[in-house]
Amino acid sequence: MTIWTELADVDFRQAYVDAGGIRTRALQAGPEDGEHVVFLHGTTGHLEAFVRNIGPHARRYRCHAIDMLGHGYTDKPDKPGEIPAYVEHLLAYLDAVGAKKAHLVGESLGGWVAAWTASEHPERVATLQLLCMGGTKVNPEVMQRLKTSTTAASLEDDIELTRKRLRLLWAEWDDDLGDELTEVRYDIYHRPEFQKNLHNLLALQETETRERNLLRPERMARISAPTLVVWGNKNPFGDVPEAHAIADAIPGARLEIFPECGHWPQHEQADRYNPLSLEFLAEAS
Amino acid sequence: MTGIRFGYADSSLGQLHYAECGTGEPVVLLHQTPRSWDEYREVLPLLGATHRAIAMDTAGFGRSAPPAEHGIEHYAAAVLEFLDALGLDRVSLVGHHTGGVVAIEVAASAPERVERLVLSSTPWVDAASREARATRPPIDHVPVSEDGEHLATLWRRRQAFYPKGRPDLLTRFVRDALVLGDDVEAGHHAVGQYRMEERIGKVSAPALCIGASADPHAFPQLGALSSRLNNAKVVIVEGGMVPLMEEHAEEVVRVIARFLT
Repeated sequence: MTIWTELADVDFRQAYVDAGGIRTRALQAGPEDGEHVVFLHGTTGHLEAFVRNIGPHARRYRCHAIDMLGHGYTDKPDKPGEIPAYVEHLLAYLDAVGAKKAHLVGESLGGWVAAWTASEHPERVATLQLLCMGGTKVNPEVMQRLKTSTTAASLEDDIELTRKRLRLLWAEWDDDLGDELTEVRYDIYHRPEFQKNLHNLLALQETETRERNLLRPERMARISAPTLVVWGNKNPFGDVPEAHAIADAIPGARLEIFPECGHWPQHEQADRYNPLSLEFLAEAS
Repeated sequence: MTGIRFGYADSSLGQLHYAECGTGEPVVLLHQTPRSWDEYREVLPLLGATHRAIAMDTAGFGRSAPPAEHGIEHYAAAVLEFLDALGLDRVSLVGHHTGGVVAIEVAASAPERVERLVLSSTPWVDAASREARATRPPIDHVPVSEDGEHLATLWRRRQAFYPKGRPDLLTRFVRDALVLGDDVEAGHHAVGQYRMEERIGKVSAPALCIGASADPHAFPQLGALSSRLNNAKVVIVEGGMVPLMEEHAEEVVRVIARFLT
């Protein structure tokens, strides 16, 4: 099994889209006239987080898995990666592809960005899926671990550090795609532009910056889009009570807890996630 | 302080003070602001086991004569005079914080004098950093007060960046800082004016960048610096803070010695 074979039956395109001056890598698939679904990865991540979801969703929806600002192979302007900048970039992408409205699926940081977008620009967001969403807490230990492990994986030669960084995320090592995803992440992490930009990429792991961007209950209460919160009960970056707090803060939100699952529910338990997501999207349409 | 010997080298500025230990390939160690050779007190005998380890008081710090004016180029020029005075044709340089910036300038201005470069917790300074640093409040400068309260303020400002339970390290910091009087901020100011982006391209010596993961100002800049050097190696010391050289001397010397062979 490889990323290629996962996508073998999918009519997809890897595009580089000019989103408000930011050259943005996007994996696009699905009917041109389908409702737009945008998939947003986590901190230091990349669009490959959704390789198991594109195929099933592209049967019905116009799918876009993008590398967010400063991430993956997307441009990395020299400014701190704060949430409003990510939101601005996302909206610029939507404008560039002619999407007036989109369903947003965000994992971790991606969820933080998606939720913020829904709270500020409700007219652009059809539905919201928040997968192990970050941004509701300041946990200095987790932040420090993320900074150190990412910096080590990016700057030191040893690919084991990147493998370790991925191991952190999942409840179980992915025997099928784990090695390939390690190679992908290693390549991204070792691009000089990525290394130069580390301090901007990790800006939200600094307490003062994080506080400024925190997703507080008052903000989440403003979200009107139908929302599905998905959480792995073995999420290393936030415990199940956090998921409940989020689902409680967002009006009408639905909560699904995946057992034996870590930080990437959409990937670790794609067979459970895909039908759940498709059902949720269909319900909302 | 087993085996550490002290000396003065003559230069156009006056006498430059240093401490050394060991024999073999020479390694010159440059301290941060506002320290002195004493930052390397633990490192000297350890590195001295395999190299001639020489910790210099940067011009204008410790017991070294001051430069005509404070500035990274002036500190670097004094290092080169120091090498001349000691008859050292080619050395490896180790710099921590400000010391790393000085090491970069030495390597850029006289590449034939530098074998290898070890840059520990060294900042990346470009136009954006210079602008940010210009508006930062003073790091170590505290106006003198008759009741001595400025000594406590000096201590407390650094305390957050030092490991708990090591007042001895803060004492050594305060002692070095007091020698400088009002010039205590000069080294920080010098870093804040340095046009590193114009000089880094001239560095040809193989470089190792050391990051201390619990040094909140230096650590985030590790990638910005290492990615701009040619094939720099990077090693991270987990839990290392601002006084990395003193707190983690054994680990740092292991890393440096491995890189220098």
